[in-house]
Amino acid sequence: MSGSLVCVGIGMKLGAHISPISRSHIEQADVVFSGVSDGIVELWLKEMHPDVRSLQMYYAEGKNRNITYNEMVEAMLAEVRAGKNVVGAFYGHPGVFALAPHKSIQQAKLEGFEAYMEPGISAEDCLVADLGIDPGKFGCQQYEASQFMFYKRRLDPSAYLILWQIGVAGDKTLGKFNSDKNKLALLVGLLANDYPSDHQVILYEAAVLPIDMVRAEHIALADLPNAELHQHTTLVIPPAKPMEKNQQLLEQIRRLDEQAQLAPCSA
Amino acid sequence: MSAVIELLEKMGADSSLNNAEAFDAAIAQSELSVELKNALVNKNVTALERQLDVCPDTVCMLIPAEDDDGSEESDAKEE
Repeated sequence: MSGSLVCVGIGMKLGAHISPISRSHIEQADVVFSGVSDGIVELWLKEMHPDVRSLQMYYAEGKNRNITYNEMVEAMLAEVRAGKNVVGAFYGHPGVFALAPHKSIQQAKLEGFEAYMEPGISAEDCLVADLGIDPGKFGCQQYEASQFMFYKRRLDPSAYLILWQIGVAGDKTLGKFNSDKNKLALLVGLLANDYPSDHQVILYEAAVLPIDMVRAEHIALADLPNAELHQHTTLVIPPAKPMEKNQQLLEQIRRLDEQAQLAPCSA
Repeated sequence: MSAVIELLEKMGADSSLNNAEAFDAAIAQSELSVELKNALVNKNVTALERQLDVCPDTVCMLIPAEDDDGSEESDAKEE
């Protein structure tokens, strides 16, 4: 069956992160749909292909973003069904905190078309580099901020906590583009179960243009509701307590190791 | 490729432009308008967007807290 879909990541920073294979997919596509975080980045994509269609048109203040994401999926699939080789070019990694690329690939496959994803350098990758954080050192939990508020999670304050889309935390309508101080105060209250109010947290924004500065602003957790937050701001909460050893399991491991040493060697 | 996009791409891709002196020199040597050069030298994104007639209000949210088809719950049950 003719028609295909490839969702590619173009990375976070213009010119710096795009992979050769993602660029090649864009250049060789019949049509490219762009889901990017910056109008200048969109201009850059338009230099790579004569038919780049922005997915921005599907967003609207007050419109539930689930409708927007379904419209994005349908726009891409309509061209796949018409037999075209379609590329969805998304900022960062197309599969990390991004619904439409996953959903469109899933649907295209269900309908018998070839569809897959090419990874990109994600906002998380940039965060790790810019903040000097190794998620393997203490562990790292990460959630979409509103989802973290809506569902009961088992929080580990000895690990890093990263909350994405903090700028719209607590928005049940999925139609807001700006932060709500009262809902941020609720989030601070929720976090107060595990973190002191003066715990230093980081507001992070990756560089998108080569002339952008990385934002890595340290504030007290209690000051979050009054902080300047954007759609692309991420909240990073460093560990608030040391990791606690699991003595019971360590003892079980010690006994297993002792038994292994005492056991005769097999031939 | 438009000269300013080409220069931005080069700034992103060329490590030799990571120092301020080389960065400023690349801008100075370009054939961009004075306004574009000033925007780049001053790292003034707002002025750059204005010069390029780009909408500054780009929405970048790509994930909902809750998917409308309830896939989070069904995914969890499948595991």
